[in-house]
Amino acid sequence: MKQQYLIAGFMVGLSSCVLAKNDPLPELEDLLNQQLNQLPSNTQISAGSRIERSSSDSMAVTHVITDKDIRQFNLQSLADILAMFVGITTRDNSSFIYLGSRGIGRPGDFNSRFLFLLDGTRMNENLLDAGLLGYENFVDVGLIERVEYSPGASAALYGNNALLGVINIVTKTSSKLRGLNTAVSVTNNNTQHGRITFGLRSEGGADSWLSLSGAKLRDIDFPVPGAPAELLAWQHLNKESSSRAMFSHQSGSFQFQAAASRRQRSFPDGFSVLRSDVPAMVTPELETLDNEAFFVALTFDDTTSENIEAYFHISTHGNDLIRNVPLTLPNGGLEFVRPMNSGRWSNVDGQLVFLGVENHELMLGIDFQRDHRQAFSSRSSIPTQFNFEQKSNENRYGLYVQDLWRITPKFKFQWALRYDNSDFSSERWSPSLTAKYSFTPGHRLLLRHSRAFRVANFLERNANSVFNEPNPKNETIDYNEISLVQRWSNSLSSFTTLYYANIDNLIHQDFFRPIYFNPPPIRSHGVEFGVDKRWSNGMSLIASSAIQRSRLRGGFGIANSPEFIGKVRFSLPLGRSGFTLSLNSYGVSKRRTFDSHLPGFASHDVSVNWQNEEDVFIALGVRNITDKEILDITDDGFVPNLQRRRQLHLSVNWSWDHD
Amino acid sequence: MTKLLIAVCFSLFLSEGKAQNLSENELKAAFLYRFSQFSKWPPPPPDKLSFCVVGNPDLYQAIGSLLHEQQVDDDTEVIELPDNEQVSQCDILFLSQQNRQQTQYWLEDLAQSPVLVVADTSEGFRQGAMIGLIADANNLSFRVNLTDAKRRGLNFSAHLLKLATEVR
Repeated sequence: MKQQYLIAGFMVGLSSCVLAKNDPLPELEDLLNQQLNQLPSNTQISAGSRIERSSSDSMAVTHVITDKDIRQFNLQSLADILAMFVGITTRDNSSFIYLGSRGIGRPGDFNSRFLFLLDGTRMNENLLDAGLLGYENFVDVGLIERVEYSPGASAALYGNNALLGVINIVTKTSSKLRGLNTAVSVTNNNTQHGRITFGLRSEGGADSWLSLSGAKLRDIDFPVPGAPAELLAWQHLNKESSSRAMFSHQSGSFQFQAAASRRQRSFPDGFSVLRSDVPAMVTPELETLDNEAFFVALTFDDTTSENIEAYFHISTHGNDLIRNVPLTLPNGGLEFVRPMNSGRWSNVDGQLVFLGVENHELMLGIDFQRDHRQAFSSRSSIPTQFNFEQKSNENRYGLYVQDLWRITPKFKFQWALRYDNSDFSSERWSPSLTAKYSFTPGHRLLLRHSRAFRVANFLERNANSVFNEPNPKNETIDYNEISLVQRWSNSLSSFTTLYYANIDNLIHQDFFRPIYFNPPPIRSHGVEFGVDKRWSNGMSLIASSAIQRSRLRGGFGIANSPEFIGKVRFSLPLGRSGFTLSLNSYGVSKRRTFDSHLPGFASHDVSVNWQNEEDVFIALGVRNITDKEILDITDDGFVPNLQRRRQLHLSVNWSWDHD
Repeated sequence: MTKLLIAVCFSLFLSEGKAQNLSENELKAAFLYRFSQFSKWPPPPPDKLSFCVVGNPDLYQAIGSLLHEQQVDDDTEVIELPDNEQVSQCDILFLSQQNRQQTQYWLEDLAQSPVLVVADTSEGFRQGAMIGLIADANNLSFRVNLTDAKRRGLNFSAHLLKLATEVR
């Protein structure tokens, strides 16, 4: 028996030696796939400064999740990706996924306190300013090159919605999507997802790709704990399907993008299932939700002369959400109510960067948004008081100026000022001041003060007018931050951020009527800390923790505001086999709700990946491996929602390049 | 037999990683060498390909070692430039972590010379480098400014253009 072990060991040892001795210089393709087993001295990021900058030159702390992380941890949605960032939590009620950060995760905010960008194009829709994180998002995760998250108030550059942070999704080009690229993934709880992408690079360098993807979720678990047996009997009717198409063409300085998505969700109406006068076997009525969205964008980005860089962007967008809600009348009759949100809007943005003054980088920009349609209506099958319609259109614009002054090689100072105005809100000024001192090339201190705002959205404005209540005031934040970014060696880096913020007029829905009000000011402060450690064998460990405290004036706590969030992700290549083991854990402390507390939790994911050179990639894993029951509040109801239970998942990526 | 398979698997997992464990500078040197193979200089082609390095002594050494390993010492040379006096002798000029003023200084005497300029920052690429060799958290990738390269009489193979993240 020992002989067999010896033979095996000898064979592997011999093959390793032969491979090591004869390692030729890798081809260009192989160099591109070669993982950096040390921390790069500089990377490129754009969310923090609205233009692409080296990380060493950036005046904001920006966290990045790359394509490799997405594949290695088999992340399936933008929500999965954002949950990897320091201090961010996600909450899912199976219809919408909500985001929280730095103690602010107000129920029912539809993520409007974050600005979402897709390759620089603003993606928040125009009725609720909502950011979409699930399968309804335009971008399939397989198309994402990296996601950047720049936390903190950034209205001085971006205007509305950049209250808690900016999230920029950067898509791949055909260098990674060339030829035919397919992906299929399944889970043990009946989720199926498929994507097919075709990419082409012309001889002149023009880049085009087209991607189609779809997902089906069947037998979705009801997200309420202790769902009654009568409801569970109809779980097969709880389902979702989505489809997405995206096209990109880049030639020289121009990029054209177009995308469309549709998501259909249906589930049995709880009331019609639980009615005592309905026989148990009668199929319950279904509540449905149908979301369609599209956008078309054209961008120009280039250096127009030795000292001027120009960026121009024009895009048009649409988003329709139609719900079909069964209502049982007191006389036993049935009525369907069809609330519909419909938005159409266009953006025109321009930006010039002047580099002609020594040590200065001066940026001037304008953003304009025309809301062609902002409509909310509700129709029922028989005329009732449920029928109503609210419509408007709006013009919003912002002008901004920013100057980065490199005073000495070690000391930089940046100021920015933005003016915003719109038809339904008063004018707003958003300043920002940032100083950066580099003790050594690897150790940098950032001091930042900025102010940001969020304008009451169409829903918040109009809901109040129906009840003859005054509009809620715009939200504002005064934000202060000290950050220390340190690169201790080629294999170890860390960041520490201390922040302090005063948030006024955070808009909140009333508990008793569907109107919105401004609660007392909130004071929020906290610290975020993270480390990134690499080893020469490709092993890596990234850990972060966020500790915060957010209180209403008077010392009252707020809902969905965990005081501790810890995250660790670890990956280990398993020898020359092409296998990688990845572990991802996160823990969240207890959270307050309106009437109680939800318990803290820790959840762990494990996955094993295998890559055959560059054309086949397989990931097999388990999320929430201990099947921890995680509860979260997503609206102002008193019933918490159950989050994802244990899930076994398998993904296969296959590429075929016709060259 | 099962135990034999287990033993083989275990040995595989314990053996060296699939990656060649190149440092960032060794990887950059390998990219530079490959770029030189997929680039075409205007006639007459250079007799001896000169790799010039600015601002990165470790990269200078890594290129020297690589050229020696590839046994192309006779056809190539590597120069670490202290100032821009010799810059016109370069066929490939690598600007490492140079700021705007520094990049301007290195580029000012090149005019339209057929020197393949490679920078490792996005600012350097926008400022006039023909190739931007830029890192993300896990890998290196490159972008190509074909318009600028052609203006200087340089051209790249279709293979290099196909693998670039972006071609302008």
